[in-house]
Amino acid sequence: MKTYFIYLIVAVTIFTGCQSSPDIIDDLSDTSFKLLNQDSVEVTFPNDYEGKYVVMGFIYTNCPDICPIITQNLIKIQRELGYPEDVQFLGVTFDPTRDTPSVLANYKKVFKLDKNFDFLTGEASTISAFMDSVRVRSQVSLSTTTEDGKELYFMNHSDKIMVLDKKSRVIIEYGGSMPQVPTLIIEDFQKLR
Amino acid sequence: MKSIFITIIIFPFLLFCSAQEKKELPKSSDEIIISDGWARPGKAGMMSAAYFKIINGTSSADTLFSVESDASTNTQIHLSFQNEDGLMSMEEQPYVVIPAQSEVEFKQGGLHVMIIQPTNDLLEGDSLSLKLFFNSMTKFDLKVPIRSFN
Repeated sequence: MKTYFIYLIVAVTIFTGCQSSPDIIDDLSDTSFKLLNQDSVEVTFPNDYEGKYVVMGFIYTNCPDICPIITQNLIKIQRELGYPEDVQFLGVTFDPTRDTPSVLANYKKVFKLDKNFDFLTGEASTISAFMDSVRVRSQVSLSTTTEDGKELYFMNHSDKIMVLDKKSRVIIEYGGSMPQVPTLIIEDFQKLR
Repeated sequence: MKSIFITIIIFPFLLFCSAQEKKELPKSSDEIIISDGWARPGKAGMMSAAYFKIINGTSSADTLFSVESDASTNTQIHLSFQNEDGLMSMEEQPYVVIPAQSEVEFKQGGLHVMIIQPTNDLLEGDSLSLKLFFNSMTKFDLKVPIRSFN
């Protein structure tokens, strides 16, 4: 009897150990940020997305090279997952001064994006606090002068795509512009679902 | 039976040979070739970028020092890289050397031509005019397709 009991304990231990419960990198469920999407609709992050997975990248629309790659990777993930209803895709700008909702709406049009794909901006102070909470850094780097005499600046920035579970906990993070990111995140999703 | 044999065996073989030929780089020649060009779609007043491959088949190095486009009065050559703080960064390149008998690729995440605030929408399916200026006094006029990212 005692032997059976030991076998039972070992089996339960192995079984529970094999369950795919991802590590929690960060818990954003106790945060709350009032943001605006590209249609100027107010969004409360993360409350409005609870009950959905969130795949989120961080961009600015004047970025000529890296941020479009991050956006492309988000698009690939969405497409290869089959445009799931329970996964919200977000691109959040760290340049709210220039990236107003109408600018983000144009950016969304360029990429021909699905309804489950939104871009978010907000007040500069709110965006700053938001970026701190997701550990995304940015700073003005180069600047150039345009034909009409206006200053155009570029930014150094973190390179990140993260996935939040349905309870607003960060469970996956990768370099956002890495070419292998879509494959890695899709594999991770397959383990989760 | 004979026609089936031709369809199954010969036709794929010919296709394979044809595909292989297209991949061949030019052997030693006196040419600089620009290939595989494309540009990202973009809205007027926003931002886009162009990419291409420069193949220098000549026996001497050459230097690309300027790129112009009809689509914008402000185009710049930049290099994306990760800086010492782990942040993604860019640096303007005053010129790009193309060594003899080699190729340099402008590609996403690396060298690119910034098309700053294009005057018109750059629409998928259209083309973008570029002028590339080299030290050897060579100038290339080319049109690259504006195409989707994926």
